[in-house]
Amino acid sequence: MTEAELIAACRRQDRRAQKELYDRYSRAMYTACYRICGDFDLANDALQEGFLKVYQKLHTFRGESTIGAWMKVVIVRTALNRLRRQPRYDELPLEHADGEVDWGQTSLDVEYLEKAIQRLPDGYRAVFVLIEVEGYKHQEVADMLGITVGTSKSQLFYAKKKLREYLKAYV
Amino acid sequence: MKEKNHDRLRRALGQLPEYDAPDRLWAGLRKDLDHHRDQAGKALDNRLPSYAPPAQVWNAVSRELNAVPAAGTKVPRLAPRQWLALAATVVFLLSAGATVLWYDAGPQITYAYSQEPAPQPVVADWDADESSFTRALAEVRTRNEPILNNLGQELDELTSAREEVKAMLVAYGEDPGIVRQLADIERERDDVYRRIIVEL
Repeated sequence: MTEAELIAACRRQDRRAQKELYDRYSRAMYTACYRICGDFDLANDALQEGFLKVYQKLHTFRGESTIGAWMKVVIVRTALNRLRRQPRYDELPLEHADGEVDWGQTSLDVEYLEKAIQRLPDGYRAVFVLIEVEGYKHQEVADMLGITVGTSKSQLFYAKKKLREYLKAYV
Repeated sequence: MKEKNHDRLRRALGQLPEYDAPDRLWAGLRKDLDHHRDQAGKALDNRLPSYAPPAQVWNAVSRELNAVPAAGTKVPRLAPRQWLALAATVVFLLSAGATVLWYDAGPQITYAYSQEPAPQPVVADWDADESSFTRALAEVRTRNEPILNNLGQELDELTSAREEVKAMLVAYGEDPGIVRQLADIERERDDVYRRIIVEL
């Protein structure tokens, strides 16, 4: 079944097609939910609610992006809303933004990196994951989170600084 | 913001693991989908409460309707007595129509009969077989045997009794009781006659 056929069948509320769409994208979406929420239980809830929104809003999908990209926006937004405490994305002073973050000469330990990301404050982690892991642009993240591009940049800067500190501590 | 050795971060981020959603998640999602489908299946007006308008709404509508007759229709104003007369006429016409329409004359009846010839009344001839009895008595006397003489005497007595009953029949008409008595005497005479024939 092609993606177009799959979408058409999902729009007809075909339960097998809905399961097929879920099977194709649940892994990527679940991972994104977990990285944003930092908690598997919250990720479960976010994924379930997010997929439900996907099926309900599928008629609004115009094909201007891939279905995966469109779904990710819906589900990521759901995951952000699921965060226990809505983080404040204050625009932090960028006087230190000229500072440098050095990731070191040696390879970063993936396990430590994962732990360090989960330790980040919710706001930092969300922006870091969306930009560095999921590949969104600052403008997209700003639109998604309802913040300015400047706030997105400062949040990312402080997230990286914090992350580097955590990684040094693990080493 | 400057970053040094950013490729190290990028390489490590590329190696981050992916996670599978637990199987129960689809079950929960499916349940949600079923619930939403059921809800969507119900018409919106079935799910929303309904409200009865206050009575004055209809009163106002009714007043408006009375004040402004519908375009193109002219409702005649009739006095109550005229309305009654009109209603009575309508009822009468409806009753008459119903009577004509549903009049039941009942089933059509036909009479069938046939004539049969009545049998001629039977006139009993009590003396029809008397000659046989006379011949038998003559033979009994010729033989002059004790048994035959007794039977001959018995037959004479019965014949005498028969003559008396016949006289009564003439005197009182065909009384059923007398006819029955005469018939009994005739049966006894027949019996004696048969016994005489046997002896002869």
